[in-house]
Amino acid sequence: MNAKRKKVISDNIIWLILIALVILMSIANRNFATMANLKTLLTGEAIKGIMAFGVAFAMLTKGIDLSIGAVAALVGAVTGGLVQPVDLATRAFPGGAHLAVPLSILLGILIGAAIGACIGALVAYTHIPAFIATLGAQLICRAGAKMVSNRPVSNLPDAYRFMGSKQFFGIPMIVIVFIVIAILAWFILKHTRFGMSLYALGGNAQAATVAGINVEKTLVKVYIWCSVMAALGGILLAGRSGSSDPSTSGIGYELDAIAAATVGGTSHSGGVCTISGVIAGILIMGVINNGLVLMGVDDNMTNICKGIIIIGSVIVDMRKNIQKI
Amino acid sequence: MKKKFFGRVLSVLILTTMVVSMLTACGGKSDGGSEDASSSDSQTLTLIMSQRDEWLSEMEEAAIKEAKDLGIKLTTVDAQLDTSKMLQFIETARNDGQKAIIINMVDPETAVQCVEAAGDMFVVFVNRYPADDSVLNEKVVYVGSDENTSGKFQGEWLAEHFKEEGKTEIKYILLNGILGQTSTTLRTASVLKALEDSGIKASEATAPLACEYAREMAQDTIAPLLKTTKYDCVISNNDGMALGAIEAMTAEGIDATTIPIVGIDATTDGRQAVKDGTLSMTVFQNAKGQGRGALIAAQNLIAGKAINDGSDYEVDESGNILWIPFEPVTKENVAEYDNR
Amino acid sequence: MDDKYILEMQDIVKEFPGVKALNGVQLKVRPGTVHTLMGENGAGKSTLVKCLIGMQPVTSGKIRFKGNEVSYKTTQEALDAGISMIHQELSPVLERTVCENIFLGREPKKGIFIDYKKMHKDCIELFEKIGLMIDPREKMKNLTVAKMQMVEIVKAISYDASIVIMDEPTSALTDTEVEDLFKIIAELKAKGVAIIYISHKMEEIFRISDDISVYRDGEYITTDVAKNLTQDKVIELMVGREITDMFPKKHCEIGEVVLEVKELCSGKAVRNVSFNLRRGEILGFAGLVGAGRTETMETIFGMRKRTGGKVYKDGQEINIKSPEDAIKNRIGMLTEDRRGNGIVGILSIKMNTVLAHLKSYGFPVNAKKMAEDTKAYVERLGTKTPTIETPIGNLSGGNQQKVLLARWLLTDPDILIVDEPTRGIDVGAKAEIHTILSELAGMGKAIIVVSSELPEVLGVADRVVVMREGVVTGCLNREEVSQELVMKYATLDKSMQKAIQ
Repeated sequence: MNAKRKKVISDNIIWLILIALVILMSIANRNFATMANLKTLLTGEAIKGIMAFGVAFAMLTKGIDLSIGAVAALVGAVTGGLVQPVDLATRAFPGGAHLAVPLSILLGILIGAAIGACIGALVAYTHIPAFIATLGAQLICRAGAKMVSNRPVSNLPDAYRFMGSKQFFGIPMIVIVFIVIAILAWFILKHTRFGMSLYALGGNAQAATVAGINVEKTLVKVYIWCSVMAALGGILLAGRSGSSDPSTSGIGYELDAIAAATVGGTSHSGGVCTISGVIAGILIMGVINNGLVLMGVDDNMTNICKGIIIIGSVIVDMRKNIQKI
Repeated sequence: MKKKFFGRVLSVLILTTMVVSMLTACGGKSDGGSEDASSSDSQTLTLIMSQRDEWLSEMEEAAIKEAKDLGIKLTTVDAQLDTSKMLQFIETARNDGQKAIIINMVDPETAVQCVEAAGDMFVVFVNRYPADDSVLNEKVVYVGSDENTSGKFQGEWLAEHFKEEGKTEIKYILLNGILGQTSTTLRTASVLKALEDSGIKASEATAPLACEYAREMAQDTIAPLLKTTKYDCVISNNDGMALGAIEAMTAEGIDATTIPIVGIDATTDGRQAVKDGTLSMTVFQNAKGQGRGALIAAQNLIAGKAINDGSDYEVDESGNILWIPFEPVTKENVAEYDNR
Repeated sequence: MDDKYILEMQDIVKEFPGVKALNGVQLKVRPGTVHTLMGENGAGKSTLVKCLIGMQPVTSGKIRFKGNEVSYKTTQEALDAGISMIHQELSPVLERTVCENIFLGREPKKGIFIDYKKMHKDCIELFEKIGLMIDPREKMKNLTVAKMQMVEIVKAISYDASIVIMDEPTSALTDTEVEDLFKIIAELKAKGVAIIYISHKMEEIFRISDDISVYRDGEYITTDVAKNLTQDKVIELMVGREITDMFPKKHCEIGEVVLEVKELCSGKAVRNVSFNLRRGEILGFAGLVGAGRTETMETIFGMRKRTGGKVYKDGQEINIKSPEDAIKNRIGMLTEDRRGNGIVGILSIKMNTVLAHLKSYGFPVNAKKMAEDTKAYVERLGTKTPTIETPIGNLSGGNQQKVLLARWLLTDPDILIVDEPTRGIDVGAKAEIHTILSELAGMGKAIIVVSSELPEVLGVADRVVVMREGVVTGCLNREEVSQELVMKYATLDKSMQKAIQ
């Protein structure tokens, strides 16, 4: 009985911390626990959250993806550029190259998939560390984004901005997309062969190979998923602000996404990841971002706080895993 | 075993609590903010910085100082060049029930979204002018320096210089900042217009050059042109690029003091170069003035007064823009700017 | 207390979340003796010694060493006090030299620099003392597993400890090396050093033990002088029941050829290996460590690149490039390295069971059927586990092996290759695994058993293939096979081999 209760606590410690934080923030500022502020918090974290679901898959296989911010910028610039008004003087693609919004978004997703396939193939077949492969991809994609346009891609039409900035029955579309992706990610991890092989691959790649899992193909799929999430993030990011600046868009998002996944209990040594944990990780980062600003805390202090939480969560996790084995 | 585990969980929770309550204590003064929001002496406002470079930090400091003088509790946050983060900060301030917000935009293209996100709050854009200035009205104002005048000071100084030499036709090398940016476009256009207005026939000695406001890039770009091109002066969109040009000249054995070189910003390095005579003149963009002006404008908006009320800053004809003037800096007056 | 004992452990209790690994266990060791710990896997022997050397904290209980009550928090503390251990799982630093591995963390220094000359000299002295022929400057990764094991042993001895713990020290050693080890043990005993010895190999235990303590399911059973005990008696104490037959070989119908391997090559490790395998047959593979048996199986299973030769299944040539292909061709393989490429330690028993069979659970996967299948095999194989959601890493070696066996049985293979199926597994589980293999053959499966334990190969196999240095040196029928004959083929040198051909 006691052991059971202990297990419940240890499995949900991340949610307990989140609840504790929410209570503290609500006490500290009465404007924290309002519907409007909840919306702000969720909208602000949703894009990083979607990217965190992507990078969590890579981390599950002992990998990492540092390119997601740059992929978001590239996809934001290309898809945005293709839907800018034809007569706009500052168009990213002067003259021709115009697509209908759905086609442009589809193209953006395909670009994400293609980049992911390249990264995945590099990681799987050349065995270079994912850190290096994606660091290279980051530089290339960022440069690619700047080549598309050297100024912010703006004047984006409302149809393109539908997902990024509109509301649906009072719920921001961006939050709905986040929830849909969360469910999709959960379904993939828990209810598909692909998801299960990710855990095996991350836990013991050699054992997975011997059990007939095609490790190479699986890795390619992982990075496709990861980059598609980044591409989606890029489209949402451009949609949210109505403008996508290739030189700054998505900078640092890879680290925020990795941090959220990490706080959510995703292990950097592979094999451990739950979607509910990642969601909690995102919310914790969001509560800190939002709550401390509401309190008027200097943002250097906010970052110190986040740093402590990232390190602390990994310490707690490692102890938990040592106890297990 | 069990005790230890619970202890660990507990200690994590306690640690978190401590950190948060410590931070709460730091920012504690803003707590009762929303209750007292009606009385203007304990007004809480937020200043959103696009980033914190040297110049913007100076502006931020001035704003904080002014807030103290005005009895306003000012929170400053850094969007770190992330538009999404900036929008989140705006919404957070709105949720906190603040009356006005001061925004140094990450991307001037997003002005409309900023105003949308601000809801009922008054909006003061500072330093970066909205790409779509139709957003400006009696609730949404801009505080900054008129880029049309920055280039004008450069042009006027050059015109005077060449007239003294008896020249009316000149060739120039022009170092553009980041192409497509409003400030680049306006600075370049206004210097050329000022030259033309003063009766100087100026033509570009090279193909158009863009050096992204970066010193090294300007140096590399201009170096090969120095001995192959005939030019009478170097015009730069900022001091950094002008200093890059000067370095390139020194490296090529050209005495920079013999050539008119003009910059904008009056940075520390720029002012030193003016003193040395290598940089002929620069234009001072008043960071402290902009920070101060933004606070004054915000307070006046809340009080329902004209935005320049109680200050000697000028407003434009619409009354929605507060101009913090540019000031020309030459060898004669450079010393005055050392402590500003 | 009594200073007759150098070490006394009393009422030791060790709890893991949900499991009581040790329940009031005791151990008393006399100086200058070999004290063997016996028990099935999961009986708590390894846990007990881990508690002693500070690798795991005890929940409660007293430890007295040389008359003083002690409690070590780290292995370093235990080492400093004079207790060293040779671990069951090797943990060498592969990229460093043999010498550096032995002196890891206590390198002789000259000022702030490591005195390599002295380290090298000390190392050679150590090796000479026990007649080990290894270059101290060789990188650890270039050694065979057996040599690595010897290096670990030398390392443990070199601490001049008063207690040396040996956990399965001979599992990877050849016979001559085992003899060397026994010589070392005799020397240590003469010096008054106590040895705590953990092994499953009955013959060697009765050769070297002075005292034997038996444990079962975390409980202490008894301690006695080895002379008073017999193999059967010990097994009975360990299992709590009598084991009637270690190798319950059933007679079964041997059918047509299902696998034919012709001139199979893989680099230098496997050279022109040919054999065939029939339905209902258990084919044993014997040979010394490094004979290329594992490598042959890995090549067939697609884990290793095939550089020549052909493989036919049911008369059709098959081209296997990966384990994935092998599984498609209904071949299963229980690998030798359980931790390395067998179990996924952090995942549940359920996940580990269904891993090779994921394709059959549809989309979305049928989680209910997964649980049912797992439960069915847990019951059928008698796997001891609290739940099917328990991480496999928490189970004992024997139970892990049963889960892995379940993994392959679930894929319903025509051919099942098992490589060292009972290494490091207690007698009870061993007999169970032998029974299962025999039953499978009875169901018409074809089975290959690779094992370094000759009695095992002879006990279960219908035919025995003997290998030496990547080459098949003989193939013996059940009727003609004997330990002596197998050893003759296994150690055959090349000239004789040619003569036979």
